[in-house]
Amino acid sequence: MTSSDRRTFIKGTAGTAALLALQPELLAEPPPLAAPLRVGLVGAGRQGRAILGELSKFEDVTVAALCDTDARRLASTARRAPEAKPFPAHTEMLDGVKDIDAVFVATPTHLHKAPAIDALSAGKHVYCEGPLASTLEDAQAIVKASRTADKVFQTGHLGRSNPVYKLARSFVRSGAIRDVISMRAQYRNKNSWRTPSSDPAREKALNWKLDPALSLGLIGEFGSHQFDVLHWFLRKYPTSVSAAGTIQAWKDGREEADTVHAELGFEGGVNLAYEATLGNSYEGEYEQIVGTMGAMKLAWTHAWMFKEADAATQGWEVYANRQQFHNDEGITLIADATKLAKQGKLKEGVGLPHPPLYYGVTNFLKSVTESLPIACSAEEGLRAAAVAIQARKAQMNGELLPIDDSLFKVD
Amino acid sequence: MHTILATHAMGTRFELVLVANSSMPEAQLRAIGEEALFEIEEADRRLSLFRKDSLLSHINRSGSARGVRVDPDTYAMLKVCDEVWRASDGAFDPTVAPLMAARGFHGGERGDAQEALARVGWRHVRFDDAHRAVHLEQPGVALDLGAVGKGHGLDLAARTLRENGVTSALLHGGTSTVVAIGTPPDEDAWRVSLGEGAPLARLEDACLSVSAPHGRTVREDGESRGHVLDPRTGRSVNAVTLAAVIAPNATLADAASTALLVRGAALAAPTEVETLHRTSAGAWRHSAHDSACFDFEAATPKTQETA
Repeated sequence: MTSSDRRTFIKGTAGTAALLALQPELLAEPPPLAAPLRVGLVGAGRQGRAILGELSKFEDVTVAALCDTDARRLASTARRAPEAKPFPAHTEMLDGVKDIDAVFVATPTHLHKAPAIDALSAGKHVYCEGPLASTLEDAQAIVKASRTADKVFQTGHLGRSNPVYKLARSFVRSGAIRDVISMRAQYRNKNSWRTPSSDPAREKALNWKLDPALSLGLIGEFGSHQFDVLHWFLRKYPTSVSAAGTIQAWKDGREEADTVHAELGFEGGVNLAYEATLGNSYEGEYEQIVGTMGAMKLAWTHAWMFKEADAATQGWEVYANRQQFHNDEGITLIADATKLAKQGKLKEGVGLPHPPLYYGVTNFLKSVTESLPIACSAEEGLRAAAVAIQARKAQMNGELLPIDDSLFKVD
Repeated sequence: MHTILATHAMGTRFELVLVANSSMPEAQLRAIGEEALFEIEEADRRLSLFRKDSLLSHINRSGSARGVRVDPDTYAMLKVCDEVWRASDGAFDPTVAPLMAARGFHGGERGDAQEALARVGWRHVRFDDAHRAVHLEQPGVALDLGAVGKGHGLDLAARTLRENGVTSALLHGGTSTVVAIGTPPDEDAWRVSLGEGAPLARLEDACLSVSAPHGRTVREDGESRGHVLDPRTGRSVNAVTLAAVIAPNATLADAASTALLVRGAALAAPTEVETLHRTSAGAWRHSAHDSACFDFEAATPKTQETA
């Protein structure tokens, strides 16, 4: 087969139809925006700093304002956004810098509601970190505000804007792994999950994740993002959940579990087994979908497909990069495949050219400036939060709980 | 009492030794250490040449087409590189990436080293201070920040520790780059060995970087060649067997120690660094600005010459 034949063959396969839908230029470089934007950031912790890092890549974006209730953290993060005016409260920020177009909300989950709703009320577009809220009431209030405001509202569940995940989803949706029989997801990262505070009076507030009264725990803070990926892939939400949490690694007086397990049941008997722990980092974070013709492993910057021997062959696979996982060989799902195939570099295209957060931020900026469809709406954020809230309840009470549509409703 | 934390990043192991003080609970000290480790891991994600999603890969992909905006920390680090490139007459040059790849130090297929050498040159890197942007003025130019990455990560980690009230700590990346915060309890300095027969380094709020031509090697013409290349000739360096620099920050120490290894002589500037190197003949050469931190008495080296 000549290289020309190969390209024709590649273009002719069903799988490649999905590859061709990707826009290569979107994958590599921060796109110029249709209009320059001035933005504000509420919440200067790790996630806020990560957002700043991605925003700094855009020539057309100026971070004009920055807000955090913790003075030390505000000062530290302000160094990374020298053009930004710092504020101790989001209300002061919205009053003090009126010419910002959009607000990024990266506060603790239980404190999303006020800055998100106030920013919408002030006429700003809003990017709000996920999970959307830690209570159904807060999530519903945010959805209502987003419906009233004629502004873009994006929830920060990043699977939906991730080019590799979009590609993987197109394979799943087109039947590449056929019927889904089970799913698994995990988050493992060895760390104490504590936030340092030089002021003892601030310690409790800064360590909200370890306060069972405020936090959704690991299931909420990590699971909600991973569950949302699977909701989006399957176009289904679970119908039941059971969960348990224990303190295995960090016996330092905490009450919040450092290790959790959950089982989420879907219609038709498909189960999602979930584990999250702060006691070990082995294999990090991934989601796995197992079907009758293959399995898919999704690891945020990379994804692989493992085919059963009796699965149909798609032409492009022959030239794709492969990776060995013990006895199994994963076919790397390649973002930017069409461009690389044209250059004869298909095997080099492994992994995303930017962190997943970049694509979430890019999608939001383009929704604001060019009306690109919103990657994850407030309603989708509410549904993901509702599943996490119910899972958290199941963990705390040791019960098997139903998940039904009533949780997703907004009056 | 002290707390030790570690992480794997930049192809090596980073370790933090944090000395507890009475006003800080252990859990708080650990949380601060984790915040510092996060800075190192974040620096790795930003500066890795081998991750497609790093900022460095973005600069290398797009920097020749147009200036690439970067965050203030990355920009400041690149400015230190610029300073040391000038002070070393080009002996330190982070545009060595194409040459490293062609010589086989990045894995994969080797290339034409002469052709790659033509693409090496920090003079092709232009800074746009107004936009905090970096421009690679010639297509094919690519940065490899491996020589300063560890120092940069440790500087950010040390900043986090200090901002959170840590007054005594020792941090290192792969044992070759070290940051000392304060001193150990009841001692006047952190003492770091440079190896048998070598002087000790005495550190108090100072940084040390040690470079040597051994470590990663490739086989060429039946010979083993070291990974430190002279960016001006493309050849592996071997005139100096060990180069050590003490500087106020670890980024500068890292860059200056590589420059010293390549150049075989102390830098013309910056003057705030103290340098020590051992020639292939075994002679120690030492250059200090005001206070000397290398303790020759402790080592009793066979040969000692002080410049």
